[in-house]
Amino acid sequence: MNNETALLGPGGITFLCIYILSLILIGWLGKRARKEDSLSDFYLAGRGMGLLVLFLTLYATQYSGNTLVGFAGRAYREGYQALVLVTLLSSAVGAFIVYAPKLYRLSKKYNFITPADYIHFRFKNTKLTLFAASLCLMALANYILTNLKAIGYIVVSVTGGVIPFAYGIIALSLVMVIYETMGGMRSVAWTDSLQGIILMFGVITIFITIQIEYGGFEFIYNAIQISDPQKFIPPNLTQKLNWLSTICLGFFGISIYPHAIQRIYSAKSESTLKKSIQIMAFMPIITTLFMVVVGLTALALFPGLDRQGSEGATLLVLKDLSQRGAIGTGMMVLFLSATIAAIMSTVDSALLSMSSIITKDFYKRLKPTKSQAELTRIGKIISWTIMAFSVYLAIILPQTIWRLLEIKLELLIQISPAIFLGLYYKKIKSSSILWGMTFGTLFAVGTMVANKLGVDIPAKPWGIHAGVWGLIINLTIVFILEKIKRTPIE
Amino acid sequence: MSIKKSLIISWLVLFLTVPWWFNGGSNKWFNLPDWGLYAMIAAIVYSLLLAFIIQKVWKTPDNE
Repeated sequence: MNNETALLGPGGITFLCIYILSLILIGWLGKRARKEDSLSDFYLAGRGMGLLVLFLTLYATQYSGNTLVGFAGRAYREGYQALVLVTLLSSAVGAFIVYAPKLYRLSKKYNFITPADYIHFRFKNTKLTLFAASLCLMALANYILTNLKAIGYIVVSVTGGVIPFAYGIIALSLVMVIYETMGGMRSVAWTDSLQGIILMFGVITIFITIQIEYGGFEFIYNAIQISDPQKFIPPNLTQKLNWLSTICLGFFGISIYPHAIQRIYSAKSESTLKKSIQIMAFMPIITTLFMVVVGLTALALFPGLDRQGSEGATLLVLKDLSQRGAIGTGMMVLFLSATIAAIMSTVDSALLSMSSIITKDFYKRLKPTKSQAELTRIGKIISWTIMAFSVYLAIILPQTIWRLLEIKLELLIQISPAIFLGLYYKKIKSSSILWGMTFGTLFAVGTMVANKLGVDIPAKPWGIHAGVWGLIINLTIVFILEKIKRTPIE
Repeated sequence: MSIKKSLIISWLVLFLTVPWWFNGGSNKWFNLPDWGLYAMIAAIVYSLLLAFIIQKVWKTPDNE
């Protein structure tokens, strides 16, 4: 790659650098606003997050770089069937309605820091708590690694390879870990707020520009009718089951991402949380739907791309708009800033969440006498260690291993019975939940790993994700064990 | 509306966001294939319903 293929010129790159470095300043302000040296202050911003910050941090965290790059690529490949992604994100908000009010009240009363804190409070079973915490860690680690790799590719695209892949990852990771360890959740939430605004503004702007420049849905329909009319065929039964299964992943998986749960704990009040989630209900429409339209526009403009080519669908549309003179450097900088913001806001939140889980759920169990200040200091060291290790892996891991890292929601979804059933069924036993979680996880991971390693096992039998089959097994085991335990012995 | 009732309605609507009853070919509706328009409108309706349910059903303590 050379300078001629760079998406931005020196001016745009300088602006982007200033924006990224300004995040450290926000992190420092977060540190200054610290009220006490405690885990609650560091990991949950003292449970004092107001409406605007809470909404923006929820938004920026939930919409990662995958939304801006991956979703458009998927819309390119799948056509209108990618509309399922809108409901995928909405269903996570639907799940919040089920568990957030009760969980928030309990977290306020019993000072929960991590999702496993609730599981331990509810079931009093250390094995179950540690198993759930381990699943959270695995899902978050995968999330961080895949997003770090995306950052590397974007830096290469933006600079035309002047900044190499590895250096891009190292530089941006350094910025994230610096502001994260300075002010913890407060810094992360404040930087998320800025990133959330850029993300929302970037997506809306590109959507409107596409409507004006190309003609919106009419242009897309007419172009696809000529180039790829197969995309108009409605989904068959297997695809419809896959659609439903995807929604289930959103409802039971995305909704219980540990960093999302910790934002629920961080709300200043229940009404603040309620309003934030209410606004979040509309975000899939103005973010995911808009990015699906970007992907469809790319399909209309550049038919015939392979899978790898389709991943760059968004950038292709942007380049085309730029060549037509529809957008200037400013808009290009805005959208690339939005993409980097989306990735950084997700990685920093996942990093903070991992650090809190290791510190609170594992380290504190080994060293229960440690003070809050000491635990906070340990948490910061853990953040740096996780980030250093993640950067190393993101740079050196071979492609075959990367395929395994796609397993995220399939793991996380197995925790959902502990949260949903735990909140609503007082008599449910910890052993039933533990056995259900164990077998559900084994089935989901076994199926997916076997598939990715080339064994002739489908990752989505009858269109349903292995994780959702795992959840069905999980719930069935819970149900059977509860029935057996309730049956009186004669 | 009780929380139980509203949750059941929201799950039903969520289930119906899948374009179950479209098979074979498709017609052009408002510059979209009919099932695509259905999925898009269903997603928007689901979002609106969620916002409505949160407003009506989620009762927060008055002393906050």
